[in-house]
Amino acid sequence: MRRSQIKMGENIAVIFIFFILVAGGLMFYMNIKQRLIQDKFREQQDLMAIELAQKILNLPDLQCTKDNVPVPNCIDSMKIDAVVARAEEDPVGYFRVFGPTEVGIDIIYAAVDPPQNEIHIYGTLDEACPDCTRTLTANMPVTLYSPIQGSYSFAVLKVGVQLR
Amino acid sequence: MKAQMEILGLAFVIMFIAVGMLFVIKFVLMPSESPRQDFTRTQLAYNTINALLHTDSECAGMSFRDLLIACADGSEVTCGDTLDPVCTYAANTIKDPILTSTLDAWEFEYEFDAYTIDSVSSDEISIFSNPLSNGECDEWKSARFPLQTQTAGTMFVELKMCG
Repeated sequence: MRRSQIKMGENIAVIFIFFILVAGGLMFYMNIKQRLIQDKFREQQDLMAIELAQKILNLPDLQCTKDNVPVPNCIDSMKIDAVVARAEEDPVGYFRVFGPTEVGIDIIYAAVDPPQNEIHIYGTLDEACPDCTRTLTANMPVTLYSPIQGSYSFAVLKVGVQLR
Repeated sequence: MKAQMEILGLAFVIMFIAVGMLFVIKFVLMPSESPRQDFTRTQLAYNTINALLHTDSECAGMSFRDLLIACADGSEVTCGDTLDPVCTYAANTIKDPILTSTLDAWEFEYEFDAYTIDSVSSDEISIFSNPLSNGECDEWKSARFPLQTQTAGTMFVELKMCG
C-alpha cells in the first residue's frame, strides 16, 4: 500500500515536471512568435515608404518623357515646379497620392551647377508628432532632368514617412 | 523491465531537448532574409546604375554611358582640369561623389565593376572595379547593364549589393 502510494507520488511529480516543461516551451514559442509578428508589422511599414517612392518615380506628374515616351527612373525638374505650385493651390489633391510624407530630391552630381542642391517637393514631417514612434526615409537614386539646361544630373529621391 | 523504462524516459528527455534546440536554431540563430530586403537591394542596384548611365558628366559633354564606352574602346579623350584619361576620370567620379554620397553614406556593402568579355577565352577583362573592402559576402544581389562598344564588344556595368 505504502509502496504504491510512493510510486503514484513519483508519477504525479513526473507529470508535473512534464507540464512545467511544456508550459515553458509554449511561453518561449509565444515570445518568439510575438517578436516575429512585430518584425513583420515593421517590415510592412517599411514597405510603405518604398512603395511610395516607387509610385512617385512612376508618377506622370514628375516623370521625364522623351518623344512622349516615359524615361524610367527620371524626374523632370520643371514638372517638380508645377507639382509644388499645384500642391500649394490644392493640398488635398496631392495628399491622396503622397499621404503624410515629406518628399524631396538631393542633387549628388551635376555637370552644370544646379540653382540648388536640395529640392523640396511635398509636405513636411511633423517634428512634434507625439504618436509617431519612428521616422523612415526611403532613398532612391534617380536622374534629374533639367529641360532648360538640357542636362541630366545624378540625384536621390528621398521619401520620409512618420510611422505610428 | 525497469531499466528499459528508464532508458525510454531518457530518450523522451533527449527528444524534448532536441526539439527545443531546433526551435532556438530556427527562430533565433537563423533570422531569414525578407523578400523586402531582397527587393530593396536589387531595386537599389538597378536604380543606381540606371541613373548613373543617364547622368551627364563634366567631360566633353559625354554621359557616363559614353564615358564608360569610350574607356572600353581605349579612347584618348582626357577630362577635367588635370587632363585625366577617360577611364581614370570615370572611375574617380563614379567613386566620389556618386557612390560615396549614396551607397557608402547609407552604409551598404557593394562592388561596382565595369568589364568586357574576351571573345576568345570568354574571360572577363576588368575596365575598372571598386571591390568590397573586406572582399567577402555570403549573398550578392546584383544589377547588370550591357553596353555596346565600338571595338571592345559588349561591355557590362555591374553593381553587386551584399546582403
